[in-house]
Amino acid sequence: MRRRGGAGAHGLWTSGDGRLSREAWRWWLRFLLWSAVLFPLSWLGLDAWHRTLAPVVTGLLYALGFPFEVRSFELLGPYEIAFFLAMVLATRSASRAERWRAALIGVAGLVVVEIGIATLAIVVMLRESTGHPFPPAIVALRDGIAASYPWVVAPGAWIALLGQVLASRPRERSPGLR
Amino acid sequence: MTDPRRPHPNPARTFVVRFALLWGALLSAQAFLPSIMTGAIAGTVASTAAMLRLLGARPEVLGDTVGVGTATIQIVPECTPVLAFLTLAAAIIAFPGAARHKVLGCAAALPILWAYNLVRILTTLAVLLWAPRLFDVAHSYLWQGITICLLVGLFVAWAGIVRRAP
Repeated sequence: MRRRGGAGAHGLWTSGDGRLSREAWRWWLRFLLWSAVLFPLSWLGLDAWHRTLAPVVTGLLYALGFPFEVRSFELLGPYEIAFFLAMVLATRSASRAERWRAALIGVAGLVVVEIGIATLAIVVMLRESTGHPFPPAIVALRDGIAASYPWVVAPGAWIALLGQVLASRPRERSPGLR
Repeated sequence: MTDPRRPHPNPARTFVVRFALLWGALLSAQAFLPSIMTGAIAGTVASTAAMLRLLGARPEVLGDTVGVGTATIQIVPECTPVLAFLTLAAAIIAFPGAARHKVLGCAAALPILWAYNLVRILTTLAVLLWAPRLFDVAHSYLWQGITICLLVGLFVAWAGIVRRAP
């Protein structure tokens, strides 16, 4: 059953008086611990991850009319996936089913976002190399998105997938999110 | 008039959508106004050099590069606090609240992020000087994680202050 209503966006993260509740601090601690595990794994798997996604990016480039084989690429992912999973795993007041659902949907969404950004970034690069570059503003926008999307997509996915579930919890059970 | 039979919109998802639209709009604005980034790069170079002098070093500045000893770094757009600031500003503006709280939040975020970015650059220079093998780990991995935590932490802190405010 879907939950409706709840504390709303104002209720996220803070206790009634606006301070982070004890449970919120626990959430941060759990999040940092999970990050300490998952971030190094994402760092170690960085190259393999990009090589795995490269054929998909290549396929998209061909579909877009850019016959270019990508063997690997440089984006900051999969840090954002590690960060997102750490946020989900730290959110104990969501049920296990809710966390699994959020993790599966969120990771799939983040992979799609990373493939999309990699494809667009390479399209802009290929246009530059063929003498038909995009305007400098588009290149600057590409660089801005590529540099800052990991800061955005993980918290965004977490709020979108678990925010309302948590905001609708009774205060004493909230994971520092109310 | 609102229809009572209609389900309430999910405020968390509403926030995420508003945030995503604002983030895209702010990134586009800085992309189409290159003077913002040019100024930010010049300011980052100047403040990094000033901080190095304060620390007793003798920095060499050449255009957008800052060097100290054998370590030299080039300040590119990603090395400025602009992108982090625009991300945080988009979250603050997208969050429900009074306009004055949003203005104050953005005004406070800028110096905090500028100071954080200076620490990041100075630390990166120190790593280049004394442990260059750790540069990739520090630059691409460690500081990315810290930046995400800082942005989320600052936003949460701001949201908490707004909630307490009358």
